Amino acid sequence: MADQNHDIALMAHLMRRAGFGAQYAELEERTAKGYDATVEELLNPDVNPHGMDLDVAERCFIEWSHQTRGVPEYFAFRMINSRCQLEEKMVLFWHGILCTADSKTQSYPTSYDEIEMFRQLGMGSFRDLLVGISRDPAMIFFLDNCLSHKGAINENYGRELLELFSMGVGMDGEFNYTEDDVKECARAFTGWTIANNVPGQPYGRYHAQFVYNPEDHDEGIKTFLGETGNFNGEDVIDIIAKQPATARFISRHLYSYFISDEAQVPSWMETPPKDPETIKMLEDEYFRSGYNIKSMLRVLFHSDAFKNARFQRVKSPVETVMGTLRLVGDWTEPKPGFEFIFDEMKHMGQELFNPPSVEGWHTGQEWIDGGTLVHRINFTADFVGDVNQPGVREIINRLADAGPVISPEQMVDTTCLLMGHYELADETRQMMAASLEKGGTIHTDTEEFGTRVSELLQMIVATKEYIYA
Amino acid sequence: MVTATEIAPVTFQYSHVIGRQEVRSGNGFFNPVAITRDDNGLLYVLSRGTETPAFFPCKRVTVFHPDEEEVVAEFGQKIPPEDADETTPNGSFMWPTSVALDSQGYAYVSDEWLNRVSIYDQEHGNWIGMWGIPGDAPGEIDRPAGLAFDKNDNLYMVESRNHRVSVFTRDGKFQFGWGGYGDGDGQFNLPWGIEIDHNGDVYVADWRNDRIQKFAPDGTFLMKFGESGDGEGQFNRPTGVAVDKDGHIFVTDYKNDRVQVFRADGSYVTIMRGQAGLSKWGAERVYLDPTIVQARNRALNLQEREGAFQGPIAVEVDDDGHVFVLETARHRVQVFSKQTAMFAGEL
Amino acid sequence: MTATKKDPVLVVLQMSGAFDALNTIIPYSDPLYKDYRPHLKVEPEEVLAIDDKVGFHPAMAPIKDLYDEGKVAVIQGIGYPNPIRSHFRSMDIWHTAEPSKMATEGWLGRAIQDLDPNKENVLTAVNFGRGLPRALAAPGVSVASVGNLETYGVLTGIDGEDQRAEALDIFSRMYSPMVGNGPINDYLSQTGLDALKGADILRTAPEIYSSSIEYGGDMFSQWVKNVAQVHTAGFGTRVLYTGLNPGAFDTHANQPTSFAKLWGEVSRAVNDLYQDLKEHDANQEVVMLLFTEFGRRVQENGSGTDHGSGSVAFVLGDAVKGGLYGEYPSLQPDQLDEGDLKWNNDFRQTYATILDKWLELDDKAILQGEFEQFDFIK
Repeated sequence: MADQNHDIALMAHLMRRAGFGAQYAELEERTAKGYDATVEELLNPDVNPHGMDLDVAERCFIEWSHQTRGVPEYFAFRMINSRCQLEEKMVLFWHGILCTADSKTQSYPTSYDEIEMFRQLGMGSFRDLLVGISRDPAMIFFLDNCLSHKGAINENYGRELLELFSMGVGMDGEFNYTEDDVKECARAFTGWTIANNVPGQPYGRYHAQFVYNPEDHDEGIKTFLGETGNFNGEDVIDIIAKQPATARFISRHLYSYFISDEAQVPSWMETPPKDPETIKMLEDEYFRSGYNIKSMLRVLFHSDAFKNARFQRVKSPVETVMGTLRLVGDWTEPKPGFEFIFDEMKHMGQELFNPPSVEGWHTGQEWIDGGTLVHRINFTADFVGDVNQPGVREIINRLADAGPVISPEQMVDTTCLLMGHYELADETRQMMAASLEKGGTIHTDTEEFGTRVSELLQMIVATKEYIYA
Repeated sequence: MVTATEIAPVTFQYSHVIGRQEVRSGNGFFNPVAITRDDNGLLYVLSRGTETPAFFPCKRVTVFHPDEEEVVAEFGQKIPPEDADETTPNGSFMWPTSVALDSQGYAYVSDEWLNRVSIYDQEHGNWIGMWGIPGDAPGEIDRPAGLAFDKNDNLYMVESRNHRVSVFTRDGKFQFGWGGYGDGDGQFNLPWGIEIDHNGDVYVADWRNDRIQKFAPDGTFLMKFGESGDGEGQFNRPTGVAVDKDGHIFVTDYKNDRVQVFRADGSYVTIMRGQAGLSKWGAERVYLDPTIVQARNRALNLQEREGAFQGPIAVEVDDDGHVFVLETARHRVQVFSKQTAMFAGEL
Repeated sequence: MTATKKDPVLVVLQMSGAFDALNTIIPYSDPLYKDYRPHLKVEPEEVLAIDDKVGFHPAMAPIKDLYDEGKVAVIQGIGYPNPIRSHFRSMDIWHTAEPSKMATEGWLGRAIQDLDPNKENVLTAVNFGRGLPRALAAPGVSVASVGNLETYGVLTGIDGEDQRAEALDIFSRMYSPMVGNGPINDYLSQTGLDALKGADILRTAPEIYSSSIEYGGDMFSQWVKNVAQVHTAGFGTRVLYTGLNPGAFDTHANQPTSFAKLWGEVSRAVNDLYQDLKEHDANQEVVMLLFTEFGRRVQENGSGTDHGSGSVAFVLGDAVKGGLYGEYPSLQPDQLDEGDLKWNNDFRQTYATILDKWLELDDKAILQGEFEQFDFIK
């Protein structure tokens, strides 16, 4: 029993990090298959069914089928319902790093193409992904590469490609590149542009299209990171991909997203990694595998650092909302009212498709302030407090399986397990048990039992402990 | 023996396009899903609208003249999702799916979330009643989709989640029905559109089975055609079907972004892919704003990209050879006229 | 500033959706106005004239009354360089006071940092609405964001007075810094306890408040009433923020009806707030800023107007020197900016004036630049 508990706790951890959490029954089922098998299933979404009826969803949300609107909702629906949880989690990962914002791009069809590109390339070669994002119409528009011309470069994309998408400003106290490298990089991407699109009036938005315009490409000799040649964009990406700084940068991002909150990105030049050993392991795998993200993830999920990192990360608002919906089993089918869900993530500080800047969202502690904390707690408490939700019902039923009477301690402990092996501080646990004690003997076969469980669930999601994943 | 009709080529001449994206009321539609036509030639288009943002008042029926392109009436309105329950105001829509007209011109609109049919009067689109009991017993309904009236004012309703066709009187009294889940003859998988031809025979777009089935008025299975795919005679989620007086069958092949035309026996005739230009209502919008005019002038492959069907979802025909194709993703109706060669045979 | 003067307070009213400036302050005597607006024009005799050139929309009578008392500065031709016609991006620009690039900090967030550098008051700034506008965001700044003042707080879903009291008691104990050891435990403890404290204080506001003013039943009017309740409760709140729901003023169609209705509600709420504050002898320390993210096309589209630029904003209060500021943009076709009113004063000039002359803060540091000020503050 102790071993099985340990295994389920680890599976709960894996599913929170490599996905958006899972109900207890899914944890049991996956634990029976084993940790390694689950990691492999998650790493290979292309060969595993995602288990969603998107066909019917597109029929209900008619705007999804041609991506003219509702793209954030579509993405969220997949996060909630896809069995290939890591696929969606990686799309969100890249969406937070290779950032574009709909407030500027204003084209859902084009944003859709971007997330599909992340879905296709997000667990493959990082080099290919950099080519993908450099050809991505949303990005070309967002960072003005379409305004960068032979003889009149716009440095915006060239700079962010280095600073925010691949290498970072510096590492171990040293700068990774110079201002000249930025200019040369921008020169190499001249001619990478987008076609003039059909305007959104009168018939709605169209998918934007990448165009390479050789006429506008600067064919001159460039010197980039010490190498000289008539470089085009892909040549520059080849050079970027082989930099140790790139290995470091991606490793730190993966570490921060999956293992434990790192410092905010702008401080990475001066602030060394929290866990240099694990970072080194990921960097090595980056080069060994030929820049393969999936290989890095496999090493990550099998590392002790990962397995020992339970509750070391602050949940993002998207993780909070999606995790809650998955826990209670809501939105497994299309229904009206999805907008509310988006508003909630926005009110907690994370609006899908609208990161606050090209830097993406700041994470960890910065998710939490007075306003967002109240939203987070109240949203989660409202859902887990609803005894009509199938996932809540399931928790009530499983608790009742313990027998006609349950002790306060047992009720607190078991509830925490059923929610995904959450661990409360001793003091917190005792406070909850004491509070239950005051309500008298707990009979599990009464109508009132559901209410008591729902109140306990609301208290648990209000704890500091529950803020972490 | 080769018959004359098979030699005579049938072609479709593009006439014009009606519509534009219009979130609010007026000259345009918003994610329209159904189209029908009254005896005076007026078209009724149902805009299903979108879920988000909630403040878009985008669900309605627009009644307009297809030649003059003038809106003559509008009715129905969106309700916020939190009100989409038993307290829903009369006449409002959550997930409207279809509109049909009875012999007196009353409009019936199905709503697959509220599981009800709302009825509006002819002149002003005032709400005059509704019916519908959710469930799966005979006479109860689950996710109504296509609606069509026969000559005797019986309402044939496709129920997508009950995988069947149910026939009601105008006031909702259940008559009979057929179907059930499956892919055998007379079974359905999430069926959608429905059409009744001049003989009273019934055609159903069997959506997830990627086929069209034809029945006698009493539900007797007559024939089927189509299979999954994107080749000729294959479908990827057919949504709508219409049959003209010559027996030609038009099917909106939704996810293949095309309309296919078949003979009365189900054999393939041709594919239409759309060729819309700028509509009158679209032009009203475009020429107000010099920046849109400029953007159109410089857009790459404007004609090709703008012309193509995007989400053809329903089709209607008249007795003069007109075909009206409704596109949900482009918020418009493309109008074609059927051209049959005058001469066919031998000298 | 005398010792008895109360701390200056700023109320910001955000008119989301971009109201039509041309039909808000109407250039009714310009013949071009009628040409551009065959259907939407307001007849000259209906305009609430300010002078022989411009006047208020008839639905704005309650604001016009305040104008006539000399309490309203009308900032004509307000805008920013390279206007953007996206609601979201443009609102962002107004929030961050940064038109040229995407920024994360709000102008008021920075102002709040200066107003309460040691974070002594958990209620220095309060927002009414769902979610915090970026204008109020800055590192270390905690702003209470209140959807419903009557029920504001944590764990509002727990029914029963006793159960809820018990839950809040446990909450305060489990957020003690002594409990738990997560990576950011102290910070979470502080934030949680501050939120609880803020909620406890805020919830008393409706109980303390009484007034003869009857606000409108719409959501905006209720939030404006909440502004009055919190201000008059004396919690030391310096910045109060609220606004219309997203897209409210986005009048692409049916403008005449919805526009007049909205301005009717908003104007009444603004006047109600002023009268309410006056009733509580709290009118002198409050200045209101009312703005929208951009203007709309000069040429109507038949029943509405599309996104444009060049707008109008209002600053109201006893401390305000009423009158017209900025210039009314020309309607001559060659003077329009791609069919829009051309802006002639940067919105940050208005911000700078409010920050410096009203809140007595360092406008240059907060706006990260120097902007010529108006003299609309007495």
